[in-house]
Amino acid sequence: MARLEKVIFIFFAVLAVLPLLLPDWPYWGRVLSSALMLSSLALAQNVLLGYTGYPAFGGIAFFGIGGYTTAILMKSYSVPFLPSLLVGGMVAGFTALIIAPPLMRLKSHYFAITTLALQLALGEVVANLEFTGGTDGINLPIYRGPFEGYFFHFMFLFLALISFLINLWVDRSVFGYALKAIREDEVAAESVGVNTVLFKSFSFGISSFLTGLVGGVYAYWITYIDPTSMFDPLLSVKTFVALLLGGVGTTIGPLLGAFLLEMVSEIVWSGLTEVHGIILGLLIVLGILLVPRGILGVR
Amino acid sequence: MDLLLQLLLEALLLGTFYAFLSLGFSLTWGVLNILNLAYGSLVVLGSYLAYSLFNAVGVDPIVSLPISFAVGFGLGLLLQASFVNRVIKLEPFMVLILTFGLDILISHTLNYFFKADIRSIDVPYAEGSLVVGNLIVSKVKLLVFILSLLFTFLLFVFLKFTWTGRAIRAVALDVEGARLVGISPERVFALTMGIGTGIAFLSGNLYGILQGFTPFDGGFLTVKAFLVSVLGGLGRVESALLGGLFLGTMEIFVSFYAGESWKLFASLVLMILVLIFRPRGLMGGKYYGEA
Repeated sequence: MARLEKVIFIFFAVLAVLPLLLPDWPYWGRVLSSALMLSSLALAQNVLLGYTGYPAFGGIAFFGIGGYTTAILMKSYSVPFLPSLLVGGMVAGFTALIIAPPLMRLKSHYFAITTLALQLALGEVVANLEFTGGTDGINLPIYRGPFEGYFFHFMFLFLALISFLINLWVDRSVFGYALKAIREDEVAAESVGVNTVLFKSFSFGISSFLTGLVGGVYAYWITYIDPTSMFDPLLSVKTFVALLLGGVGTTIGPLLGAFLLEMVSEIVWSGLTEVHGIILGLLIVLGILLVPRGILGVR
Repeated sequence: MDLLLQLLLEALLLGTFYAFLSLGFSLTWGVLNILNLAYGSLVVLGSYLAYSLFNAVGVDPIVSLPISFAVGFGLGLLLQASFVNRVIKLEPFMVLILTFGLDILISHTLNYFFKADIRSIDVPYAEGSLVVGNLIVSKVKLLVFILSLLFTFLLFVFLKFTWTGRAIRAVALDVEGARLVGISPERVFALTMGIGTGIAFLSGNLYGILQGFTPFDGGFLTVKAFLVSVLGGLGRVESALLGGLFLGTMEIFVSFYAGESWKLFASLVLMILVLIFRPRGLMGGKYYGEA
């Protein structure tokens, strides 16, 4: 395992110099950014599902919170991007931390469904409010500055790296052991002195903080956001398919799954936008039926 | 006062339809323990079937009801045979992802063939409205209400008084216990999946009569079915009626006083609250068999 993780670091290094080597960078930059974004989202969910055992199927709620906070701060209050992004991530993280104790009394598919309902409900609120732009959405300024054309690649690369490091830390730290104990048997964990509410809330908070950051970078990258794109259930399911495909509860699985899914989709159906959804649906159904345990085959 | 009565009447008509709509969802949930996120899309599939029968062959949308049920029943058996048996062993969360994938597959396939335009099925002899005292009742809504009530009643009788219905309730309560007294759970699972999908298609047919639809209506129909099921608890047919009426009343009043655009939000918040505070539903019972 450790050797594979070193390979991942080399992979990150290669991705950092790739803009200099690849021809047709605008195209590849977009593909790689999408793959890195999905990797970060899958790694963020891995902290919660993989190590703590809670499937936040509606985790994209925090993607939306992060994205909208960033967008509103930049647009309405003219705050620069990086501080806006940080606040966006923190709002997402703290929201999760606050709602975790009541929400995480639910387990398994009940937790999954409740978070999904939360995601859809937030989408509805945002669509109905004035300061969020309603269904019209928000237009963000276009990035102008150093590394134009490479900026978002490096932002997503940075997020994926941070998410990966956090996964490494969770995998090996005492904090992570506590989470794994909760995953295996919550009552037993409680009985040996793990403050389960505190630990699983923090797990949810960290995961949502990362998801919020990804949402913020995405909003600035795509420059136009609306409730449908920021609280999209399709993105939730894509995140989980990437995670399940690669292998839940491993440090490299989510990265592997996300890159595989994004590359396959780019190669297979980039020209077939008409049947995009049909193929995605088929892929999910077949994937779950044929490789229910993921490529790495754990758990 | 008249206004309140009118709103309550609308709620009754709509709520009864929601109750029937949710029965297929809660039946497969209660008996097979499958949370079918593709349920709404199966309903919409039923709407398009009735629509196609009406427009291509000229089958009256009331006459097509038995056809809808039969096709749905067949599809249910097919789904059961092809993957539900394998899925049932998976973690519940994996089933969610799988059925969500199925939902994407169905809605996008419909979108590919029918495009995203709003379609509707017109029933020529049910146009206009009746005026009773100071109340106005649209004939279409009344028709759907009567049919929903009839089908709900039929399902109630089937589950309560026939041997097959008793077998379904027995399996819902205790699979091994049912096996001990000579019931084949596998056959009951197949039958339940058939009936559940049949109900989805039937209510889809009714939904098409009731209002316009698009390929992507499945999502919020699933939310409705889910909400009615958790509100009533997966108890009995009666509790689905209770849940349906509750949802219908809430939707009508929220739409009227806060605006149509807050309707889905209200449902979702209610769903979250019920799941957190009353995960066994307002009526308590967890399975169909529980008294």
